[in-house]
Amino acid sequence: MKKWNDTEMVEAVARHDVAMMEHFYHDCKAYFKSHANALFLADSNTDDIFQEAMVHLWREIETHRIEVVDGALSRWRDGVAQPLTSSLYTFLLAIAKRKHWEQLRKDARLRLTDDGSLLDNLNSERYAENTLPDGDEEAIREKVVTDSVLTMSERCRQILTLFYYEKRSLDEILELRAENTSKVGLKTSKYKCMQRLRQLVRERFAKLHLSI
Amino acid sequence: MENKYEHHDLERTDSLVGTDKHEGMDAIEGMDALDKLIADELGQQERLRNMMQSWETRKRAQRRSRLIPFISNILSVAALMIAGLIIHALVPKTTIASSSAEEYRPLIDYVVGGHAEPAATPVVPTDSAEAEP
Repeated sequence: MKKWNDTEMVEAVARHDVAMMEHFYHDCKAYFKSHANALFLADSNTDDIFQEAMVHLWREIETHRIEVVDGALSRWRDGVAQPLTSSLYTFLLAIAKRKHWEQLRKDARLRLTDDGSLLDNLNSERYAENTLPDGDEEAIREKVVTDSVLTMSERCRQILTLFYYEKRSLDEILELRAENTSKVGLKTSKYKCMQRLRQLVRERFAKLHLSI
Repeated sequence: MENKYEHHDLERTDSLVGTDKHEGMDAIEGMDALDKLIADELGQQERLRNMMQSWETRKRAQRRSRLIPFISNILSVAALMIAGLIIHALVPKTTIASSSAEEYRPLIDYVVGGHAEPAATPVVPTDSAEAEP
């Protein structure tokens, strides 16, 4: 049985209360699994979808895009804190569905007609712009980078994390990733991933008149 | 002339790939801050993933630690039941029906009621030729 409310959980995540976060994680996973069959294709990797959705939700809370404002759980949109109209569970499922659809579109397993409303919902760039909070330039810059990194493919995220965060060499990454068979191919992939990410961040910075 | 970039970690300086040296220098100065932001964000997300992974590992270990005693209890009970069945099969059985009912007739009559006390020992039928003097 749920022993916390959404407001308490958001405050716990914001202050990095690991015990509460673990409790929240297991509760969310149970809720997600009970709805996964109805929401996702049978051969989807629901564990990965769930994990990506949780990371996204937690980053939204840690970067104060979702926070408690005047005692109410709110989400920043276009510089305005709007009360969250759904529970965190429902919000998590919405993030998971969106990531799943983005992945399907990339995999080209589903051909979408040029339905503006559907594509608008799936357009992660617009999603990111709509959720930028009011705040100092440093905070907004951080949030733009967060959003951009979250839109990366799993492959790019893994390669860039191993290289730039864990500081592994290309040879070590080759050993860890069976998908990459040559060092030249891996270096090209890394370069392209990083270039795409940098370009995306720069474009968003330019739109918001931020300096790098 | 010494290569300005000789001591750079060239693998980590993608900006130099395919660019003019001067452009590359500007790119390095501009991109270092951005690369740092990106690396920081990658680190934050990786931290969260590692945390979730550790929680999953701990939960699986907890499930295993509850399951093993439960399974060993079931196996112990099953072993006891099998041993009991084996013992039951091996031990010879004796019942009144396997003996001659006549040997115990006087005792049964006495217990049921109203008859003379039986002899101290059951009457064992003997060969009549031997009994006669």
